[in-house]
This record gives sequence, C-alpha cells and structure tokens, in this order.
Amino acid sequence: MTGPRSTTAAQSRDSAGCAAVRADLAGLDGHELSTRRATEVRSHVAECADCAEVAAEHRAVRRTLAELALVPATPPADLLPALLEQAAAVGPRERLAVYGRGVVSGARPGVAAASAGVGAVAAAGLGVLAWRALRSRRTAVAGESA
Amino acid sequence: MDVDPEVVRACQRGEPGALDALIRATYADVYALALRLVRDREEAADVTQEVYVRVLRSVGGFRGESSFGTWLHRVTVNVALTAMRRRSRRPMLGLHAVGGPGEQSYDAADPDPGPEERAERAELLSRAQAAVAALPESSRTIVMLRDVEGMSTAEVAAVTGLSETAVKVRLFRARERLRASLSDDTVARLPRRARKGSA
Repeated sequence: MTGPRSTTAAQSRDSAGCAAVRADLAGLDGHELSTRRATEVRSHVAECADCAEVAAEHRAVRRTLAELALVPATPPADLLPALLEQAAAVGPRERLAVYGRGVVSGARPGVAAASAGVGAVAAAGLGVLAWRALRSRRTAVAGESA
Repeated sequence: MDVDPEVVRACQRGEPGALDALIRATYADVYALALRLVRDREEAADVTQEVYVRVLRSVGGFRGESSFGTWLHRVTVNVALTAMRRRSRRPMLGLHAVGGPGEQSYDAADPDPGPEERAERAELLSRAQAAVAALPESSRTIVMLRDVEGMSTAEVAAVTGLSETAVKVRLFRARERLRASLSDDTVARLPRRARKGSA
C-alpha cells in the first residue's frame, strides 16, 4: 500500500521519532493520547509518509472492528420461548418487589414521596393511639390507688 | 439497543406483558452482544437468560440517568465477563461460531452494495474476526469492549477491574498486533470508498 505523500527528506530524518510515533499511533484516533501527545503525533504523521500509512492502516482496522458489532447473530429458536417462560414464572411477590425497589431507589420519586407521607401519617396515628392508651392506663392506675 | 422508555416504565410499574415486550424488543441484541464476547452459542444463550434475571431484579431501580439501552448493554457485558471468568478455558471455537454463513450480509458503509463488494466485506469481517479471536483472551476482551462495542477506556477499566493505564497498554498492543496481521490483506482489500471515508 503506498501512502499519499511522496518521499521527502523529512520522512527519513528521524527514525527514532518514527518509532516513538508508531508506538502511539494505536491510540491516535481513539482519544487515548494526551492532547499534547496527539498533536505531536499528528504533526509527525503530516510530514512522514510511512507513519501516515501506518496511521491509515490503524484507522481502517478500527473501522472494520467497529463493523463487527453490526454483524447479526441469529438467536437459537428456543431462546425467546425460554425467556418468556422465565418472565412468566415471575410471581406477584417479585413484581411487587420490582415496584418496591423503584420506590426505595428513588426511581419513582412521586410514589416514594407519597409512600413517605402515608408512612409518616400512619406513624403519627400510631403514636397518638399509644399515647392515649398510656394516658388512660395511668388515669386508671391513679384512680385505683386513690 | 433502542428501547421505548414507555415499555421500561410499564416494567417498573409491574404491568403484565411489559416484560415480555421488553424481552422481545431486546433479546436478539443482547444475545448478539453476549455471543461476540463469550463466542459460544450455548453460553451466550445462558448469558442472555441471566441478563433478564438481573433486569427483572433491577429494572425497578433504573432511574433513567442513562438510556435503558446503555444500561442493558452494561448489564450484558458484566454478565458475559462474569461467565468468561467463571468458565474453565474452553477450546476456541472457529470463526463460524460467531456469525454463521449468511449472517454477514449487511454493509454499514454502503446501503446498497453490489454482490462483489458485499462478498469482499464479508470476507474482510471474517478475517477481522479471526484476527481478534487469535488475540490472548485478556486483550481480546478489551478490544471487543473498546473497539467493537464502543465503550470508553474508563468504562472498560470499570467493567474489567483494570486501571485505565493497563487498559490502554493492552489495547495499544492488541491494536498493533491486529494492524500487523490485517494490514497485508484486510486493509488492502478495503473498498476504495471505505478507505477514503476512514482517512
């Protein structure tokens, strides 16, 4: 494969520079290099046909790799029925648990707030009842001892 | 993985049928992702089932900070990685374990490729799969997550438990190895249009 640039004196002047750049070319397009290093590597690539060719190869390979994610894979025929059966086996208790986790985690803030309100009212009600019961018992005890 | 947010909300409300709808809409993508990672059809099916067990347990707590598709992708990656760690090393399957005959009939770059170009790309992808499969498993996983699945370096580090630096080191080595093994044939075989587009 021949690079787009013609051979120049600049491209052969610094083989050590090329070696360092080649080591980093794998990260040039994936944003894995620091901004400063990426700028250095890009400016080298702009002047060096050999390194430009390697950089193009890296880009082409990465593009091909990205396309692998689009290769369709046909699931086995029995997978969907098995998954649906698994989902159908979920009982009311689990469904309630899913709902409850949403409330506790805050994923359903409205319901969480309403639940907290109901809980607070219920707790206050229980407190009042307990206080009344305690008071009437004290009154009764005081009456007996009098 | 595109998922209708209303379906997710229905699942969170525990509506009957909502989970079925969610499964039908996503299971093929979940299976495909699992298969790319574990490279074993049976294991990919097991991973898919485990993913939906976790979805059921956790969908109530899904807060929508990222899209549900992104969340499901991460759950799948986590389950697949756990399966890969758990399994004893098995002999690597051939190329056709992932993407059987006739399963590579698409083209991302050109919506209407000619038969010759279609065949060329299928062959190219086949070679790329072979080259990736030939990588050591630790590097292969990182390349799959970063370059195939498009996760960020930080995300790869998080799911693999490696430092970002370690991820980058393995990634660079693996990419260089892939370039070296593919550049002689794969890159040369890239359609001219694709090469121009990637430059």
